[in-house]
Amino acid sequence: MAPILSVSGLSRIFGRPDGSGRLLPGCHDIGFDLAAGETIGIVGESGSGKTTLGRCIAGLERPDAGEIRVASMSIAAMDAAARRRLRRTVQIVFQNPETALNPHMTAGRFVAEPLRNFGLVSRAGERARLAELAGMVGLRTEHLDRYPHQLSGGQKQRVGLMRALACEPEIVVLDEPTSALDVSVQAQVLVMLREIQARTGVAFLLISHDVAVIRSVARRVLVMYLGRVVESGPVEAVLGSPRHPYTRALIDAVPRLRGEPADPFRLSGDISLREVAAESCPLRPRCPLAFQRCTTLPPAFEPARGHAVRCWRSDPAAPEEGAGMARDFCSA
Amino acid sequence: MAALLDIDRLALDLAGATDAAPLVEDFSLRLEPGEVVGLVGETGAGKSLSMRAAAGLLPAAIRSVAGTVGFRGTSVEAADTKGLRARLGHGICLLLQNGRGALNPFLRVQDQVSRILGYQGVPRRERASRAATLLEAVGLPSAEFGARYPHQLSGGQAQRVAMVIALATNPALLIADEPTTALDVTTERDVIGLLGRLCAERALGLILITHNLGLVARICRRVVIMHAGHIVEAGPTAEIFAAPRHPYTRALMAAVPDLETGRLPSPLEGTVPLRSEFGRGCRFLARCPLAQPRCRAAVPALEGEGRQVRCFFPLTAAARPGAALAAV
Repeated sequence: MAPILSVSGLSRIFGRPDGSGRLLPGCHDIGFDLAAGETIGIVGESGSGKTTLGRCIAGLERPDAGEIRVASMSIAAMDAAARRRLRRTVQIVFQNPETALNPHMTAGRFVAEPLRNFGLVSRAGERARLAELAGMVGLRTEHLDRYPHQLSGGQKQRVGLMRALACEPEIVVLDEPTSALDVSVQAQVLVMLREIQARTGVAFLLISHDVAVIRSVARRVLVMYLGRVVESGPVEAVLGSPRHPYTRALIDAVPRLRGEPADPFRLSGDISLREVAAESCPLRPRCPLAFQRCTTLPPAFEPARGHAVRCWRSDPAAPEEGAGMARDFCSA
Repeated sequence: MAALLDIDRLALDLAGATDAAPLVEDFSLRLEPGEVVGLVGETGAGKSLSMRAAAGLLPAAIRSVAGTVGFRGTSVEAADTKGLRARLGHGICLLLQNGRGALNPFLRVQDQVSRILGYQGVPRRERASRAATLLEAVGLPSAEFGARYPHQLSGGQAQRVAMVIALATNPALLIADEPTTALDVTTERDVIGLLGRLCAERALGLILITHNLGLVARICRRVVIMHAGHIVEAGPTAEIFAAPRHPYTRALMAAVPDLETGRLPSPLEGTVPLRSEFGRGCRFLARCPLAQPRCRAAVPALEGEGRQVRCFFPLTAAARPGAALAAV
C-alpha cells in the first residue's frame, strides 16, 4: 500500500551560504515514508530541525528543495482545491497549549471553526459531533463552554488535539505535545493518542526531545542532529541498540529511575553550528570517535533491514581503523 | 549543632482564608550541610511554595499559619529586611527554571558575575579574574563567553551563568526550582552533574525541586514526595524507588515512560485536587485505587523514622517489586 506521506530530499534552510562552507540552520535532505495509521517519532535536541520538518509537512513552511507527497500527490504540484483539501488532511498540534488556543473563544467554538470552514457537519449536528470529539480526547461536554483561562494545561492540549481531529485528518503532526505537561498528564495523553489512532486510523508524526516518550508511542523513529537525520529505523533497534554516536549519547543522557548506564557515552561541548562544515558529518567536532573519513558526509548504511545509520563507523567496507573501532563501540 | 535548614510542621494558607484547609500542611524537612534532597510532585503539590517559605520569600497572598522555619538555628520568619538580605545574598540562594530571565539583558556575562562579586566585597581588581575562574568551572571559557550578552547564549549556557551567579554568593543552601526543565537532556546531564559535584566539593546543601524522577534518582540521596500540599512519602531515594509505599509514589513512577521496555506508561487518574476540594480525609483519596472508608474520615499522619509514609494502608513488601510497575 502506498504510504500516506512520502518525504524525499526535503530541505528547508535558513540564511544564505556565505562562502565559508558552514552548515546552515534548518533541515537538510530528509526522506522517509509514513504509512496510514502509523506513528513515526522524530527525536532530537534544540536546533536539530525537527520542528522545521514538522512545519514543512504541515504546510507552514515552504521547502527549499525536495518533495512532500501526501496520498501520492506532490504538494508542490497541487492546485488550489487540492491544497484546500490538504489543509484538512494534514493537521498540527503545537507544543505550547497556553498560546495555541484563541483566548476569546470557548473550547467548543474554537473546535467548531474548522467543522464550519470545511462544512464537515450540519449546524444541527455540530453539538453532537463536538461532544463526540470531546469524548475522544477525554474531555466532558461542559468543558466545551469554557474559555482557555478556565482550563488546565492538559485540558488545553486536549482541546488543541480535538481541533486537529475535528478535520478528520489522515496525518497529525504532534510537536512536543506533552513537554509542557506533568508526567501524570503526559501518560494520560500518550495513552489517549494510542486509542485515537486505533479508532480513527490517523497517522502521527510525533516530534519530541524525549526518547522515552517516542519509545512508548512510536513504531519507527528518526534521530535528527543539526538538521540531518543521523539514524532511523524501528524504535526497538534504534533506541534499544543505537549505532550512531549521537543516538547513543542521547540515550545515555536520559535520567532513569533505576540504574544508569555504568559508563555513559558522552560527546564534548554543546550542540552548535559553529565549526560544522556542510560537507562533513555534523557531529564531527563533538564526536570522540571521529576520524579521517568524517570530514565527508557519510551515506546511510543499513546494518539491518530498515535500520539506517549515517556514520562512517557503521561502514561494513570500512578500512581497518574504522571497522575495528566500530566493533568496539557497538559491542560496548 | 543546628541543622542547615529545619522546617518543622509548617502550614501555609491563603492570607484571607478562614476555613481550615491549608494549601500546605504538616511540612517538615531537615537538611544537613552538603545534603542533596529531591522535592517532587505534580503542579499544584506545593513544592515551590514550601521552598519560598524556606527562603522567607512567601508571596503577599500566602501566609504561614503554623510551624517554624529555621536556617542555621535562627528563625526565618522573624528576620527583618536586614536579616533577609544577609540570608538571601549569602546563606540561601534560589536558582529558577528560566536562567535567561535571571540575567540582566544589558550586561555582558563577565560584568553580571563581577557585579555580584562586588556585592560580596571582592576588591574591584580581583573581580574579573574571579569571574573568569567561576565561568571556567561551569564550562564557559571567559575568553569566548565573558563578553557575550544574555541573548547571545543558548538556554543551557544562560542557565549555567545563572548558576555561577547563584554560587558566586557562596551560599550554604541552594534551592533549585526545575533548573533543567528548559534544557536538552545532554545539557541537563552536564548541568546536573555540575550541581552534584559542587555540592560535594563545597558542602553545599541542595534542594532540587523537580517533576523528573530520573534526575532525583541520579543526584539526590533523599527524596520528598508531595501531593496536594502534603508530604506523602519521604526517605532514601534508592529505597523508595525500589519499593514505593504510598500509592501516589507508585502511580507517579508508573506514569514515567520507560526507555528500556517501551511499555506505554500507566496514567495516573484525575488531577491534583484544588484547595476547595480538600476534604477531611486523605487528599489522594479521589485518585487512589486502594481507598477505604477510613481514608475519608481523617488525614493519615506521616509516620516512620528515616523512611516515612502518609497512608493508612501503605503498600507492603508482598505487593512491592512487581506491583510497583504493574498498572495501578
